[in-house]
Amino acid sequence: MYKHDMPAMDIAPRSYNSNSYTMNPVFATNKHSTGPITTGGSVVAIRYEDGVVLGADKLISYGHLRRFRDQTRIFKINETTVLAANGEQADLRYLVDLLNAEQKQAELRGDGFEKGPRAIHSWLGRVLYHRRTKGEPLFNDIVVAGWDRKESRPYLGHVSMLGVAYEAPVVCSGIATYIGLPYLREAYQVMPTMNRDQAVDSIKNCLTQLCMRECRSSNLVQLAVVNNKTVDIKDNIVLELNWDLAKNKLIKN
Amino acid sequence: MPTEFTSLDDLSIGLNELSESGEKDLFYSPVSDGTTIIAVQYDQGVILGADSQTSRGRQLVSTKTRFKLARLHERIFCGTSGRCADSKAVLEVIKNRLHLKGIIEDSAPRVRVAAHIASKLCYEHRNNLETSLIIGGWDPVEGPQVYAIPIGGMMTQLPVAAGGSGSTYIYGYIDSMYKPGMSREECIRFVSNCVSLAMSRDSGSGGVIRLVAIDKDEANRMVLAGDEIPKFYQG
Repeated sequence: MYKHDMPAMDIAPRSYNSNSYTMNPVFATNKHSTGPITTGGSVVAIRYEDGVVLGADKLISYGHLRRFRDQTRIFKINETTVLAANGEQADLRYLVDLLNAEQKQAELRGDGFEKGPRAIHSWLGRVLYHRRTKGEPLFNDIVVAGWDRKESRPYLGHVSMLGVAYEAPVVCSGIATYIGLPYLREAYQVMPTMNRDQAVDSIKNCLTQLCMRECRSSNLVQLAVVNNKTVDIKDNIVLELNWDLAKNKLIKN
Repeated sequence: MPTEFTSLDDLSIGLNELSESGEKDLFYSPVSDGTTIIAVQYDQGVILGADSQTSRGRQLVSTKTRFKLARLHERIFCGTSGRCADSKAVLEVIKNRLHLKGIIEDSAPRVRVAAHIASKLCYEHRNNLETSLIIGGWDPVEGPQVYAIPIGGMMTQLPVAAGGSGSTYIYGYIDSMYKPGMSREECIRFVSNCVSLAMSRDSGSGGVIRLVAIDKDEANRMVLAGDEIPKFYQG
């Protein structure tokens, strides 16, 4: 197409349309030996009777620096799927760009078929495993949440950085795996058929605990609620932290 | 220092000897910007500011009067930090592609497009590049915009963005003094203060303060040198 002289550092051919060679993750030539740089914190998600609730804070850290404090980390792909991830946010945004391009192609086809959460989960698992095999991993543990239209049930899955993909009723990424997962698993065991408000409360409690216990986190969060109709992202939720312990209110004389 | 190198092994021994004497850091480290770059967006335009010092290793000043605010297009400028050579290489490619995009679309390129080209480039070559950019500009479609592209290639739009080694010293100042809705003069003073404070605490930043004020009508380059640089507590 537009052939023009490129400096020697360019490796793959370039073009500006979305079907270009470089948009195919299998042929991506970037080498990720550097590790994650602009990182996101934890992601938590729980399945309830009629859907899924997913929560993440809005902070992107640059090492220990809280660099970008009002950033979207939860991405809606289509009316049935939403995803979020911890780790390198540049990599996550790259994957979301690819998924959005695929979604646009589906809309252009206009045949009513679009990729559901199961397909996206599977695709991400394959891509991440392939990149791990090449030695150029994408530094993300991705949570995929959605509504499976074929089976009419909520879908919640996790893909680790090395390509391990599985489905579970409660799923977390990052430090939340140690702090939040036990808490949410117990909540799910006690009441597997909880309703939407109970699920939202569980997630908010979990995020509050994470905010207190994880260094690279903040109390400004986003929640995504998926049900059989749509994905609803609630933005700019400020968590209330309980500082009574600091003010000695819990200590009796 | 050995005077004869008969093989590569000898050369590596030579380098090791240098490092023991502390000279390796001076002579063999990449030329890098200890830098402060900052950009602020206001109603009608964008103000970009930067220092002008380039250091080599941690000790040697390579250039005292460098231009870190590069012109990508008439109303789009880019502040660079990180490794010098990487910054310059990346800027050449971005300028080239942006210019081409302007020709193909027969209109002034948008700031968002410039930022996207830059971020895609930085992301795809992230293992080989160590450069962080702040792109600020004005276009007729979206007005004034500032985009930050840290190392790693993530792109994000912000009202105020700072980068480079000196930026860590002024996040507190930025958080406390930045208000949305500042006028052009207030923004210029804010940016000058930011760069001055960073320069006074960061040994990698110094020289003069270079400013670019971009709006619909012009991109005005200014320099604050010597006594013109705002002064603060120096103890």
